[in-house]
Amino acid sequence: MQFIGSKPSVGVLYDGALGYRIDAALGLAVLYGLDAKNECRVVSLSVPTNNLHAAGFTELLGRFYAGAVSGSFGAIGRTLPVGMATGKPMEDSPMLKAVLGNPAYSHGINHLNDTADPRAMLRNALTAQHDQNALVVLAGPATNLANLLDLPGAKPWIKDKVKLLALVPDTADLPALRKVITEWPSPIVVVPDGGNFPGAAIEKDFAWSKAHPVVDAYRAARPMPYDAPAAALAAVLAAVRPESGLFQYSPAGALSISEKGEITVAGSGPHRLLRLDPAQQEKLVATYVELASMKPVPRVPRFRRPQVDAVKP
Amino acid sequence: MIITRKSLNRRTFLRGAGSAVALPFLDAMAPALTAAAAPPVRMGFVYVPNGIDMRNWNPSYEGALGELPRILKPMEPFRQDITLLSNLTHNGGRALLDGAGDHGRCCGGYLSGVQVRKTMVDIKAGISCDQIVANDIGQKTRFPSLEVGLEDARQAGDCDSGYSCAYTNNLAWRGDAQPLPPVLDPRALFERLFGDGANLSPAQKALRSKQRRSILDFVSGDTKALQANLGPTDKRKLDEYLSSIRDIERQLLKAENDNAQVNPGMDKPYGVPADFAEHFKLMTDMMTVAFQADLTRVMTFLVTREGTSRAYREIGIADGHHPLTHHRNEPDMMEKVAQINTYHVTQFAAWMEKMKSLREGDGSLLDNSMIVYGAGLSDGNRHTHEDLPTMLVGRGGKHLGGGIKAGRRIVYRKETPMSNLFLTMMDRMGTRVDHFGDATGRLEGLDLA
Repeated sequence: MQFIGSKPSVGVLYDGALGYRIDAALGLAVLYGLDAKNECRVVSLSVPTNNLHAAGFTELLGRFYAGAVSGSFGAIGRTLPVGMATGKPMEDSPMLKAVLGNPAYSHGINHLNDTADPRAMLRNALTAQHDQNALVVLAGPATNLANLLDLPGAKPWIKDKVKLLALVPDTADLPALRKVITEWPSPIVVVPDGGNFPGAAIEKDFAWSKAHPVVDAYRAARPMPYDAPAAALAAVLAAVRPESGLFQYSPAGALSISEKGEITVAGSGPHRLLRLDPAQQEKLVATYVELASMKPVPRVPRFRRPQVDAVKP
Repeated sequence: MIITRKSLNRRTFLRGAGSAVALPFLDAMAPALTAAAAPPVRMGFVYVPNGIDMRNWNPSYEGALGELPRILKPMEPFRQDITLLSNLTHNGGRALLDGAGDHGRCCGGYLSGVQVRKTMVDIKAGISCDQIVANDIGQKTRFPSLEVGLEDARQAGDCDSGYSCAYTNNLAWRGDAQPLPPVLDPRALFERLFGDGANLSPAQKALRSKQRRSILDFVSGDTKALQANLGPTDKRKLDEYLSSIRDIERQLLKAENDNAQVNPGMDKPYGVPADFAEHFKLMTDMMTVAFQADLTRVMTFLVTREGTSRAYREIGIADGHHPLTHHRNEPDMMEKVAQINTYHVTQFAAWMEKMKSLREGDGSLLDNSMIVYGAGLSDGNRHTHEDLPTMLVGRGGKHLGGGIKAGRRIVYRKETPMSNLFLTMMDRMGTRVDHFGDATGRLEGLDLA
């Protein structure tokens, strides 16, 4: 493959239990905040749950932040496809009911074939990234990533392309989590805890928008006021800003996972556990709020040379 | 000719000096055959370039096919033979990290599911699915596969932003660096199928040339002997078959005479008809005979090359096809693209009519075939590689699980690899491979399970 032009910012594949974990929605908001600062590019969105409304919620968030012109997957003028796991169907959560029932938001996912096969989508997204210029953030059951590992030829792609997997352990699909922990071929940082996201910010820092899907989801997830767990936000930051100094890490080693899904690191290997740094608590929360509440940045379609004369007779 | 136990060998040929004409599937062959030797399944791929006007290709519904969109209208008589497949994707056609050159990539990797190397010199694609099947079953037929096309095209040089012309001008690949250029000249195809008289004596050759005699004249002895042993149905089938060969010969002679009179200096093989539709018909007539007589079971047909700027003055369009597809949403240009797309489908429909009219076993030749009509781009204006226009015609062998349940549109999940379709088709051809291109599995609804 040839490298055309300069290397773009790192591409992030985000797979999260959107619609079921409020930190997954906040984490995606943080990710789009970093995307707006050109620190990364959101190149893939998927949900590890079988629920069309969860996929619709994800597309809705994508439209809210990136508009209809993402430019990813080589396409201009359409939103990113949303990968969705199949398997046992999930019931709608309160936050899905609240957000998808709001006519202020729209999405285009009504049938299974409006979603993408997550294995193909994740693989295809990886193929479009430069070596060691992709990050994967997992904030939910590891179903999709485990299935990706089963795809012929996927592991070499992952090894070549993915610099880091930031993983929030979710034991809802323990076999999948175990598979990812034991077989994932690139370095992993495990994020068991990310502190809290301040509920007060929801009322204040997001007020620039009359209708904000993350705010509506937050309000519907639990009775207000509350501070939300922030593991997914920490995973995003750990992936995109590894040198931020906001976190502490365990020594690098090999991961092991207990029968109950507890993950530990020992011996030699490239993987680490993220730990909160009490000294950085205030700064961490401020970073969460600043990035999650950022306004979407209008995307300019990529310039393409006119193709009319590209093919010679 | 070998006739045993009042049954006819499937591999029977009518032979004459320097010529050999294979036979179609006749009822007289059936007693000699076991259930395993039911009519063979054929696979074909018809590729049209520069994408399709998808507004006039995709129906607004899925499931059972009702009224077909404008471009597919010519296929209305065969609605129950069509399976329209939506949302199939060729990821390897996308830029990924290789920049411009969608035309080169989308055709070069169309049947292999790989991303071709961006180069004009050390080309690298992948073995195409037709050739995987040809390698597997090709020994059962005289030709493992046939590659045909309608547009003269060079094989070297830059045809799209640094991509070799080998990518835009070939559909079938025997290996990573071995494209199989399509045969463009009908006379060359005819002689390949039925012999070029290489074994004739000089006197016979001179006579054949002078008299423009039919190949059927040379095998008339065998024909008469065979006819004496056939029942009325088989006699009729044989007559129709031989007549179709004679028709092809007449078309060839007409094209050659026309070319000699109208434009002797034309920049194309002598036997290529000046008229696109005539050329299309002549080539597809011969492919029909090749399928019918089991000369081959695998065929690729590159209608015109990817990125072509061919004009279609036959239907009043003087602009080049490729420039028109970059229409920038100008209605006049979009209308012309739709007309070209419809014109192509019209020619294809005439071929399908012929395939459907030929009885074979308890169905038609089309029932025992899988012909994919499609393109490596969907929207030619934006160069998109998802939701590729894909029409599968035929049932892939009615004896295989009742055949493909056609007459419907199946919309797959987004990003479903096109390679999944090809893997599924290879299964139906009896060629089982574990991995192919970027496939993630078989296509539900078409598989043999």
